[in-house]
Amino acid sequence: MTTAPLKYSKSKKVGEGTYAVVYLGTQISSNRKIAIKEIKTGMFKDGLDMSAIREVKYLQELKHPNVIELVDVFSATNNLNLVLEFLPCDLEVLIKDTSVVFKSADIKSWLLMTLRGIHHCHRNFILHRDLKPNNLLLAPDGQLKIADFGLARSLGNANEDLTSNVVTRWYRAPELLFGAKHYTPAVDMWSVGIIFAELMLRTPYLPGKDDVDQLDVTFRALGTPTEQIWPNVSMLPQYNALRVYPPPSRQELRNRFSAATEKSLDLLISMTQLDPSRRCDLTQALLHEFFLESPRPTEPEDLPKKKEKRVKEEDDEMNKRFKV
Amino acid sequence: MSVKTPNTHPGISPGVVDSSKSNLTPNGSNLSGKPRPSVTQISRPFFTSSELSYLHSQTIADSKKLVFTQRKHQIFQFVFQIVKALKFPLRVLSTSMNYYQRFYLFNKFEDEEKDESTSDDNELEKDPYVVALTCVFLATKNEDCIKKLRDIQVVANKIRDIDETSKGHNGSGSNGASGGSRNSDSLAEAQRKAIMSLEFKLLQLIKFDFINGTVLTLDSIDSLTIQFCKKLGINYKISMFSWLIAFDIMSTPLCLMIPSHCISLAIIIVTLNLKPSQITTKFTPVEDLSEVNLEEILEGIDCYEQFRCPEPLVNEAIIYILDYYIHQMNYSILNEYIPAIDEETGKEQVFKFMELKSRFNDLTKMNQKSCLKRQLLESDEYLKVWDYSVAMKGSARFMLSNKRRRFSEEIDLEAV
Repeated sequence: MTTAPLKYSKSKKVGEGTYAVVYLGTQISSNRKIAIKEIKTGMFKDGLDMSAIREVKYLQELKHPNVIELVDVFSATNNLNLVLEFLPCDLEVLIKDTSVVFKSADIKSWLLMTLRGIHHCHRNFILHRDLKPNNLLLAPDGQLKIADFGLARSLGNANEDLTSNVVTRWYRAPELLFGAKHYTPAVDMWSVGIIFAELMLRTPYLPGKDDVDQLDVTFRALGTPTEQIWPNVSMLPQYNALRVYPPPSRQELRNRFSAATEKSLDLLISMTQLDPSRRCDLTQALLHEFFLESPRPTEPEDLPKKKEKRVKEEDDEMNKRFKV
Repeated sequence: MSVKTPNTHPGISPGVVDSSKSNLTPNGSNLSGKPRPSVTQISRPFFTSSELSYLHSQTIADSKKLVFTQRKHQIFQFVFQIVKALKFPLRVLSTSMNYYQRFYLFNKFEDEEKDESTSDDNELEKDPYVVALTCVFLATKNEDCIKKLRDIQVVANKIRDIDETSKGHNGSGSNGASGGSRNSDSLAEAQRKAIMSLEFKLLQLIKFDFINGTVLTLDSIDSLTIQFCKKLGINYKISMFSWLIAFDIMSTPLCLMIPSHCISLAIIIVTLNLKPSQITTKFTPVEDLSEVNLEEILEGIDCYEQFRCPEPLVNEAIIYILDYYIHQMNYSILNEYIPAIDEETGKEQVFKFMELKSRFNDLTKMNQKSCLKRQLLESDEYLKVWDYSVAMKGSARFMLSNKRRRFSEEIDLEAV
């Protein structure tokens, strides 16, 4: 029995960060394009980076069309290499590309694929904790795949403290903004809700300038939580000196999301409930009537794609995406 | 399963640990066209007892068996102190002990008097205490209880009363005057370097398998035992008895043989059979339980349907637990919480365990026929002392055992 000593070829470097270098490459046996994340080991004060451990730990366990595939783990010349599915584009790039038009069926399709991927994580008791358009990658066949499990963790013991310093600021749920030490998969649901809004608006929905501003931006849009709508919210560590904004009326939301149907507004409202216990879970979201009303979600292969670009620009984009 | 390419670099033979070279210097000469060593390893988190004794025969010399056991107890005490001081949950302790025992399946146990004349950085790497620190460090990462290595070191060195600032350390743990040393790192820094190097080695030994062959959410024995007790409606005192057994068993090599849920269930079955009535606890529980109830609970347990535990594995664990107490009752934690003489029988506690074992004589255990012959064990490349130089100079690929099917497909593909 033998195995080919060289199973992958590296072509070009597409990104470099403090703890990893990303290369494009090919799986020789299948000619499949892959990305190799080479993780530097042994040079840092605290050894193998936690995010690398998480990525291996959780991605080895998950296999789903809407979750990035970890193809292989190997160590060579004393570095750890993670072989990942190669995914050339992400949702952020498309949102920012004003020349690409999103139809409501396209948004529905991306949202559906995102929810399916997260549902698979949650039913395996894994919280992603860093959902944002930049981490929703797009395969050449249009499939959306959830990536970057560097902040993920498994839902552990109920009496254990979790850190509230997770999720990129704009997509951070109010309980996290308030510094909650116990939270649920609802933090991921919130992020998806904000991404849904961003897909419709084509601009970030709640772009706070800093952590304090984030609270203000969030509550100006969605109302300041009170004891009435969110029991015991005032017990959370960072709940103090808040400006009180009234919750938005249905009409205000209609005005903000002018193209949204009533059903899509229902779903958005349900995903962005301030009280995490009232927020819908993944199963409820997937079964929402929004997905039953016309138009049907676009087939992945028919979804808008990144416009062809000159090689230089593409390289810059890659560099940006793989800033590790 | 372990597969090596036939064109292995002549300088690298499997089964030889080359610890003389620093892990941090990549060897450039191997890149110049020579075939590079390559190995694929499919994680095997569990071993049979015959595999374990075979592995130990390679790493622990007969003359050192006793030292190894004694040192292990001291070290687990030390690890427990660290875990307590840093307020980590017990699963960090449990994972650390698993890693420590796994480490010495594939690495030589060397615990000699430090040789002052050598100025070898690897000296520290051989120190079981530094190995233990590495195990704790990696366990905290895997169990999501992240702490800076520095903080763990400070606590650990304080527990052992070691002066971290002493200079001139050649990596040797002793605080001797090794004059003329070229290395002027403080002990803390030398320790850190050794831990960094050991961490990468440990990662290879666990085959980058962070779920240890089970499922992601499978808790450690102590916590599972309590969860199972709760599910079965077992009262406080009996649960406490089970927990004490769990705490004893956690430090044994049983975790290298049987998955934790099967061990926990075995602990509960042993407890229910013993029907412990006298146990010293700080709290006085309000509820009381009649023996009839215990029998009922025991009768109602369905290993596989309720707990997804294959029966032979549970039986294997039951026998192991009983043997443990028959031989080591006096050293166990449980012993401190029960009276020396059992009230009902008027005999020492150990007789209850012996009596129970005699009743369990005909349990179906695992069939180990396939791995009893030494010849077979010798031909199993997975059981060789792990060659770190493969990952250094060539490539070592790691797969979870549940990906085995994919691996077989690859083999078929290449056979064509």
